[in-house]
Amino acid sequence: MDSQGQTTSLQRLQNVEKRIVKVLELAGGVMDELASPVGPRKDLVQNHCLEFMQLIKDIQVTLRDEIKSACEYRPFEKCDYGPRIANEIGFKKVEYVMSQLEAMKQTINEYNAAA
Amino acid sequence: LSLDKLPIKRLDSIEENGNERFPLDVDYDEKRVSLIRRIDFAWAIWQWQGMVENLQLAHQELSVIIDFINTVETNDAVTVASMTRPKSLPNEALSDLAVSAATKLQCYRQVGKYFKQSAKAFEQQVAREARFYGALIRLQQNWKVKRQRGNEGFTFDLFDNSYDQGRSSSMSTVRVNHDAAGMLAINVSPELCHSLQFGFVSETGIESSSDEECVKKTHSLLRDVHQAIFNEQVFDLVNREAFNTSTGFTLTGIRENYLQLSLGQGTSVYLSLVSTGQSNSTCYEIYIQQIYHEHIFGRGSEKGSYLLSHFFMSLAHRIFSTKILAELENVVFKVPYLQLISNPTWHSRGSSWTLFMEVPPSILRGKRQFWTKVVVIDDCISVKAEGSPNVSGLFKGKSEDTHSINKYDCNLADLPVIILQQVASQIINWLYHEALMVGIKANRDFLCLSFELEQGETLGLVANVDPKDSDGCISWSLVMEDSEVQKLHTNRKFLGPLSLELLYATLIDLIAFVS
Repeated sequence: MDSQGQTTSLQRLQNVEKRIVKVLELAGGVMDELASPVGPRKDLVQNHCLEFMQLIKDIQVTLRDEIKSACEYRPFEKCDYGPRIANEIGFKKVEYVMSQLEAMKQTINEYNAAA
Repeated sequence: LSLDKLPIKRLDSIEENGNERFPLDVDYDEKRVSLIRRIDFAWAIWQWQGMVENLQLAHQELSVIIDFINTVETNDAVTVASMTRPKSLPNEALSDLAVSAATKLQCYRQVGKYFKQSAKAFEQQVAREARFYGALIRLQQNWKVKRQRGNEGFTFDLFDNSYDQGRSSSMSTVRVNHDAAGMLAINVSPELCHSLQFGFVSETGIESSSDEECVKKTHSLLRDVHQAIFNEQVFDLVNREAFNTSTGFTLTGIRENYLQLSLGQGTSVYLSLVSTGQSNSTCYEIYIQQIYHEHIFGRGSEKGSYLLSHFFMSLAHRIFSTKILAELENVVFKVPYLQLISNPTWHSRGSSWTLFMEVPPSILRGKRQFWTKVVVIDDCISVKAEGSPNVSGLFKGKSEDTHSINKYDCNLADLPVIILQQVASQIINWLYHEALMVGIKANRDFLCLSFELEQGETLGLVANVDPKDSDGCISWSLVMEDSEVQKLHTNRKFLGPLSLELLYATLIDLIAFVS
């Protein structure tokens, strides 16, 4: 099981979905085995079923945890749109200053070249 | 052998009167039937009769049973106590078992196939959604995401409470769509062109790029829309202010998303909302965005409705400063021993420069740097310069204490002259002190350093300033005066502009001459 600290909530939920796919595949495998004309191989069916149950358990545990922690999530509590615009203005200032410095550098180069 | 019937009719009977009775004409089929009738079926009829009777009896019994069943079905009089199937024969049982086993196997196969297909379809859907939600959650770190009603779709909400509700922008809500591959895409429509925005292409162009590029591009689009909304707000506020207050400027033209204003003295400016592709950020645009940003988002709200006046006064100051700088540069260019330094004021309506003069070192360590400062606030120029030293302050460290400060207010036209005069005066002061250091008594006037000779004559070094002089703005003359008949006999020798080294040498010569 992935530890909570290393993965994001989205990644854990995506892992749940992958497990569901695996669960479906196992169920299909068991059915195919039961439909076999020579009869099912007992150990294979048993392994599949064990894995199935384990995955279901994992899914349940993960979903329970995620549902509990989802209740604590408050989307966009603090809006940063104002500071964002301030950042954009700051960015433009830096761009402008850089263009001025570039022009100065060019002037110096021209001066040096002429000298 | 076949026998044909002779066309002789057989006599049926003869009557007494001699009439002959012939039999009636019977055709072939009828004849056959009559012959068959002559066969004796008595024994067969007997068995047939028995079967008919049996069937009739069976029919009667069935009718009774059917009536019975109907009665039982309606539950009126009797109900079923128990039913027993007739015992199936062994071969019937086996074949039933075989059929049900085969059916079961087939069902298992179908269910197995169904599970596997579902797994595959689910896997594909999960992969598609993983891309979409992965992109959405990354964008959600920077932008508000709202869910539409009825579980259908998301929107990015770029609306800001700090903005004026009056011009609520239709751009504030951006729908989140899917492209053909199921990936996140937004459609920023070309109608936004007339405001601060671009005509960006819709989702069709993005399919081929990676998820990372898609997120970055979407984020960039949202940034542009967000800024456009802000710029609309700024323009609206400026528009409103231009009509309400008129300190420092006059509104001279209005078009859609365009304002023209006159600042006086032949300066006109405009402010407009254009497509981002066309606009090239100037410092004025950035500055107006900044001051309005502080106003909108709450911090610099004391200025209130005087933001535009403040902005235009800053602009006017900027233009004026440029003229002043041109004058200063002109002076400094012509006078080789002057250096020009800009002093940052961190104020949009104030500028300051310092002119430095460094004199050559002498044997005695005197003061070597002299400054003249030019400070401009709005359109008021003031010049400060180090003047003559105070004796009392000589023992203290700071320049302000050791020297008096000359202060002047002036206008642009007089600025060069005043500066040059200050500089010349500083040179005179320097030379005066050098003379003092070697023990020679000299007299000092604002622009003249004079020495007394025997017979009451004075020999002086006089500075002359002319900003338009192309050789060098400060030139020097030697003047010999007869003190008794002042200025009647004045010998003047023009020396022209001199470097500081030459001036110092001249001073040494003068000292040698005098002593």
